[in-house]
Amino acid sequence: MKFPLKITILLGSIIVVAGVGISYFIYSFQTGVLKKQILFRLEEDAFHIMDKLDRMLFERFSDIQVFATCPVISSRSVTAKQITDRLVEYKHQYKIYASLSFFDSDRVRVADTSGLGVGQKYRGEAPWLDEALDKGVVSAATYVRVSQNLKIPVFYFAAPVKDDNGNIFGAVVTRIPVTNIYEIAKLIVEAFVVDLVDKDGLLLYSSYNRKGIFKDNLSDWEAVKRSLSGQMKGNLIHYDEFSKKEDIVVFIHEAGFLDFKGNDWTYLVHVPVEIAFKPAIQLRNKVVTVIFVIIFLALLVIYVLSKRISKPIAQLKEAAVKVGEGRLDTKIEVLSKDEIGDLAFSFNKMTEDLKESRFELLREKSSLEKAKTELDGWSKTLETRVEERTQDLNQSQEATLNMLEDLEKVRDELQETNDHLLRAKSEIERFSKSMESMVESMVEGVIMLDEEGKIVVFNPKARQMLGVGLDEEISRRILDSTMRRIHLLDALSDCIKKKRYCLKEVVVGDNEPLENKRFLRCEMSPVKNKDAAIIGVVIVLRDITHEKEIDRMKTEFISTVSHELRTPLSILKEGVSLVLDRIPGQINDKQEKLLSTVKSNIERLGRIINDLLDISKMEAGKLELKKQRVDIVALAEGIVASFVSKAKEKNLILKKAFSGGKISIYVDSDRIVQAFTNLVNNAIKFTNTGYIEISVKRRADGVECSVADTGVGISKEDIPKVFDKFQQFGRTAGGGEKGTGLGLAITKEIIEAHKGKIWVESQWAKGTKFTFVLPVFKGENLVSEYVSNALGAAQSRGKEGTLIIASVSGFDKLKKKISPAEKEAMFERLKERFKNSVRSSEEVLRCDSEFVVFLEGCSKKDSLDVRKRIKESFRDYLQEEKIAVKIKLGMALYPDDAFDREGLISKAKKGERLNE
Amino acid sequence: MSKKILFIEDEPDEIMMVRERFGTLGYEVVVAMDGEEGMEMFFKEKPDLVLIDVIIPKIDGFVVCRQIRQSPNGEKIPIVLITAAGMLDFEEKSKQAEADAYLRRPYESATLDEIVKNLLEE
Repeated sequence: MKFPLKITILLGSIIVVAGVGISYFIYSFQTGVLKKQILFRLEEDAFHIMDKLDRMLFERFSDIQVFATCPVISSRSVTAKQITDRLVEYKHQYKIYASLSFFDSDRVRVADTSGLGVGQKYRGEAPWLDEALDKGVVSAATYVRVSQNLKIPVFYFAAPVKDDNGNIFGAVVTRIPVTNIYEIAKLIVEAFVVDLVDKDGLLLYSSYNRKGIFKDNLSDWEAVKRSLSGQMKGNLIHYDEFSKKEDIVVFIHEAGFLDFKGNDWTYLVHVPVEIAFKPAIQLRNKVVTVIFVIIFLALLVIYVLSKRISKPIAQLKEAAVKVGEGRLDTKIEVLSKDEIGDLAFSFNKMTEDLKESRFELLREKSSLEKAKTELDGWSKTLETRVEERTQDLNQSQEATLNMLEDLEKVRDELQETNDHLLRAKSEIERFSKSMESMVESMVEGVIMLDEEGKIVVFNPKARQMLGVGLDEEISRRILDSTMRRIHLLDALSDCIKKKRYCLKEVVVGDNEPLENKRFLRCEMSPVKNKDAAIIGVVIVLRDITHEKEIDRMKTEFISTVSHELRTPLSILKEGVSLVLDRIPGQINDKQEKLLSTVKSNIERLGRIINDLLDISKMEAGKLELKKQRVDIVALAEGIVASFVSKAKEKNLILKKAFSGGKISIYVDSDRIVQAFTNLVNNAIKFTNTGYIEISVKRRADGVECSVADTGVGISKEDIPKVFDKFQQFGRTAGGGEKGTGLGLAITKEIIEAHKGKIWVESQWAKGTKFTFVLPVFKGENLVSEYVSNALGAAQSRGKEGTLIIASVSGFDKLKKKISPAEKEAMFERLKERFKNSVRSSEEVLRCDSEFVVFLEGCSKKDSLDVRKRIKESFRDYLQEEKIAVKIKLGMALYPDDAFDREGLISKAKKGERLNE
Repeated sequence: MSKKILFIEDEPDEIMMVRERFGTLGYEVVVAMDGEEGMEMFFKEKPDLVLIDVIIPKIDGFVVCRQIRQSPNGEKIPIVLITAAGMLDFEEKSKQAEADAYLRRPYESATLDEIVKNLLEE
């Protein structure tokens, strides 16, 4: 049964019972009181009527005594006529009497107002008369008879007449018709049923049993008499045969009045119970109705309230169901502050705890699952073997011996497998331990994250490098914040997200003085398992502070040495020049000659110093190439031109062999000139007759340049050493500058720094040919090479940078076609605008229809400014010239947008269209 | 009126050489031995040309050059920068500092003469 219903029934029953009980109690009490009141009223009314009757009888009682004591009547010496007259007078006066009579002591009617029976002796019984005459009793309505001569029922009144001596000599008798009395007493008027009975119960009057008057007794006289038993009034409930209903009968015993003692009559009033107790019954009905209404309302209210109360319980039940289903986020609103509210609160807390325990369990579960997977592998093998064996068993119907054998085999194999497992496990443990030891003692810092980004390895060196305490708890959060401090967090996130390799050098201790800074080289790469699935990320940190320091020292050294050597050299030269220029004064020829020698040696020394510095830079890897697009043919032409005079001096022919047109290569122009010059210089130096041929030829993947001469050549033994430092062959006392012995070494370094190759072919006394090849970068490769160089330089200096690519297209869709010359001119103008907008000394690369520039050290804000300027400049150009070519402009930030060349290039190529 | 050259250089022998040369050629040479002094001298002496060795104490030559350019009379004054150091971006830095000419040591004296002469003639 539902809870509200239960409550309702329970409380309802209590209320009903209580209500009914109380109301019944109240009702009966009220009714009792009411009944008593009604009875009392009835008795009162009855009493009043009786009283009235008695008063009236008293009056008649008094009257008759007055009559009896009237002087006329009471005189013995008056005549009958006089008595009669007097009686008549009285009759007229008291209209109530039917007749008045005077009887003498012999019961002879002496006088009578009606004139009937005068002079006759009264015949029949006349107790009244007897009592009056014999006993002197005054009676009033004591007897009632149907009058002999009047023929109607009358009440008799009698009083003795006494003479002066007090002797009774006669009696006065009056008669009043019964009905007169009744009328006076107003007995007939009421609607009630009334009876008047005498002392024996004889009906003197009955409103309902008229026939029975003077004949019957009251039907319940005995009961009434009992009930009265000496009291003046009483009541009883009586079932009346006539009306077939219950009556209340109220009876009053005659009380008399003053002297009149009464006749012992009893007056009864019958009131039907339902009429008498109508008020009570009405009250009862009202009460019942009200009670029912109240009970009904109460039930309703209880039901509603109990429903309200049970609602939270229902909620609780639902929440419990939800939690049981696993929805641990279920929460119950705690609305009430009672025990149910507490229950809800505890419930919530319980689900919270459950949730937490569940998370814990899930974590436990995942690590357990990992361990399980390993063992699953082995157990699968086990299973397969077992399956195989059982199949064999099923197939063979042969003897049990086979079966047993096979079973034994299985057992052995199980044993083996178990041993395998154990061995594998111990090997894994051993391996794992040795890995641990290795990682712990490595010189590099190693951090490894699993595929969920949780830290799996974090060796002591890594802690030291990142400034994390050896005992400090390491969490991903701490790692991230450490990484962020040294500007590695973005790189790490990029590596994890895009699953690619990343190399970055960072500084730990930005704000510290140089001595306290540590430089770290950080390599991050995804870890793949043999299925090439990514299972984590490994970060290797190497402390390169020392290397950086050495590097810095090298740079400083070279710079310092360069300065320190050149300064005195410069002074020497200036000094000698001063004298040679005769500034301080004249000098003679000999002095001039000597000082010229000095000057030329100073210059030689200068060249040696330059070469030495060059070669140190190259060996220290500090040689920076300022690459740009250069037409190698034009360059070679320039070289040839510069040696024309020198060649002429020695009567040597300069030959050129350039393949037609421009060959554009991406090189450091000055350095290539230096290399070429070197070779041609040597050629001229070691050739006395013949020619020097300089050629530039296009090759499949590059350009081939050579300097060939018809000079002294190089011996076979010397050829291998030709590019070594300080090798000088044939100290010819020829003219020309004295070499430094470093020229070819430097030339080789230059060519190789350009990713080219150089070699020599020579035959003693026939001639020598030096050839070098330089790669030609075209199109994408060129852009790639450019970005590679620029990015490398930025990375080595630890700087950020921005790659900007602008591309022009749509020439074929132009309405007005333009010639190649015009196109070139346009590109030139665009390049100018590009360069002006960039406002940097960085070389802008033009590659086909693209302009590329990498701005090292350019901040994000500045990059945006540059892009804006380029955009505006190009737009202006397009509007001015009204050319409808399409221009796309893109930008990629290092390291924000990408870490590597490909990434930067692909982002920078995704530009926005400028016009439209 | 002979032209005045302000030479900012910390190497005494260099100073002597330049004094000897340009003095004889008919220029007045005033000298400052560090960047700070150089600025002071520039305002005090109001030279017609400034010759600066970029490696000097206190304020380096490039900064001095820029400061001169930003000063009221310094926009148009000829400035020549010299260096003995193996600076790779000497040309670039000189352009950025808005110098009129730049020269590496050891230079050919005649070259310097010509540069100075041309700049002072403009």
